[in-house]
Amino acid sequence: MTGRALELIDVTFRHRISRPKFTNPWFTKPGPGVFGLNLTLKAGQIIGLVGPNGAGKTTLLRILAGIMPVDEGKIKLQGVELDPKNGPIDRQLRANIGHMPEQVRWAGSASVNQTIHQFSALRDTPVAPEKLLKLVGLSSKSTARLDELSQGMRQRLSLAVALMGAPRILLLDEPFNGLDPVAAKSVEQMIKQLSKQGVAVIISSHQVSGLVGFIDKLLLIHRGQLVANGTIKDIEEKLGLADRIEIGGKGKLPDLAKLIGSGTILEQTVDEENWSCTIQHADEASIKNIVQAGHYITEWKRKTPDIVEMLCQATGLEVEEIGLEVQASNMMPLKTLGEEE
Amino acid sequence: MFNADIITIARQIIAEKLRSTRMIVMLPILILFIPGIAWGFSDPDVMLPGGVRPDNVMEVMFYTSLGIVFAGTMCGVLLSFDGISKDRFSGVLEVKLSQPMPREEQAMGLALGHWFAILIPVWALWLISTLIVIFRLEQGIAFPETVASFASVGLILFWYVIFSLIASTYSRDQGTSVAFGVGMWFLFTFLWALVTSMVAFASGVNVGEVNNPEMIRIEGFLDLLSPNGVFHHLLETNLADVDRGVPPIISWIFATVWTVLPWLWFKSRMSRIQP
Repeated sequence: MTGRALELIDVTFRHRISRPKFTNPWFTKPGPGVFGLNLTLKAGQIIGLVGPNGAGKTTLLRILAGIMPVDEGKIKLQGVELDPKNGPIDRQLRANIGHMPEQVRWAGSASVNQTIHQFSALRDTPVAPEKLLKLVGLSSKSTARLDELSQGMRQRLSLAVALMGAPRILLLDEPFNGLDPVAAKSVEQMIKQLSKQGVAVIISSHQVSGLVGFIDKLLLIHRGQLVANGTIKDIEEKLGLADRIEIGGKGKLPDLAKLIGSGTILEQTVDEENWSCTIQHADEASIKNIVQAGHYITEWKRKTPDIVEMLCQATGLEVEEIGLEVQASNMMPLKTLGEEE
Repeated sequence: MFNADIITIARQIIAEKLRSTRMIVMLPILILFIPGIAWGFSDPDVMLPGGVRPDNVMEVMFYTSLGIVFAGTMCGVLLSFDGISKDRFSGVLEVKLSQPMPREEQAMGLALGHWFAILIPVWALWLISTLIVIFRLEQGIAFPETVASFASVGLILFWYVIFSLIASTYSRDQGTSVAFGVGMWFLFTFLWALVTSMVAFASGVNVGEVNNPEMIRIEGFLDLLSPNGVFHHLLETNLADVDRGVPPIISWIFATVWTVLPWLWFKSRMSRIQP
């Protein structure tokens, strides 16, 4: 993980929202997008891009894939700033990046093989379909019509197309959607293998949990801005979500304040028979103390942070506020509002 | 301008469209409208409204062009209205747009693919129709006339296909796209006569007099503003005794304009399109 595969410096892009006027039926105004993004992706690194619906994940991936232009900012590819003098920036990006969008509904009478050939023409690269399809576990379906593919198989075909031409950077938008657990695991292993070969990977997801232990770095995006950027451990520590344990047991709730030493009780619930609690920075002897006090523990595990917790901590917003905001299409960035807003 | 990749893309679209259910449904309609009309109008006893009796191959083919105007263009629209919107709806467009091939070349492949998908069957039927008429009238035709006739058919199909594809780049659902294509077809196929009559009436011409030279002149000019009209002007260059005040060179210039401007519009749309 040495060379810089991709670098974004203050990258901004805003979607245009149609606002027809009597005098100009085609009038548009700037809407949501991504704002002042700074990001470095090293060769062989696997980055998780996480955020709620409408946060800007897909927009960011589309910018990186050369589908959407950049309004402001610079992009560096392998340390070299992309210069329009060397051809359109989007085309320079597209030549180096493999992109797998979310949930592509491949359909039609063309076969899987024919589709691979069609995309090899678009990529202007010779492709050995058998090898590619074997890699994604689709070789038995090479002559099948697109209409005959299941959703999981369509996901694999999208992955095969993204892998064409051996890209240096791979963008995967919700790659595990529609895949059964076995297929998801094999895709995960394949991504790790590609990473070892120096391919930088960005995986977009709604969930942090599925990425734990798999990604090198996490980007938390909200309202088109990166609100956290680092390893999961670093982010947990920065956001005050590190070192938390969940303990569950039967019977009467222990007097936790006395038993956990310098730890902090974050949450505790009790019902007729069971109790549970979440403790942060608990002493090493906490569990032992609870057991020695005569309580019966049924569960004890490290609490992994979820996206809602992270967003709430990073933005200072309540869950309800975030939940309602993401449904609004005209959401604006947290900072640097333009004059028209 | 052309490269092997563009041809590969076009060839795949052609293969898919020619094998599509839509084509299977449209082919009998095309057969009925093109060779069917040619067979009927080449009957030695045929008498058209107004006492017209076509007596040479190009004249019969001129009347047969009604089959192109009514069926060929409509089938062109129906074959290409979802050329881009379908891919956008399914997410495939995003995959295509993320490939390194320049958007202009992708646009070229799309346009050629959709155009040839309708051009191949229509040209084949036009050739069969020409042979039917030659056989029934026992007359020959000159090579330049044949070339002009086939070129005209090719051009009108291109115009309708490219307009449908442009509509397809704007629409985010299939309904809007098909409505635009069929609406344009309806305007130029049926409503243009109304536009012509209104302009003639506003110009003080007696609309009822079809042989009025002023009416013929206005109609000839307004036809240059419609793809169907330009198509008929092009076919009329093959007819000896037709003069509507538009020289053949003007017809061909307008045909070029009708070809180039929509193509540039489509290319521009494709270079800025977003999934």
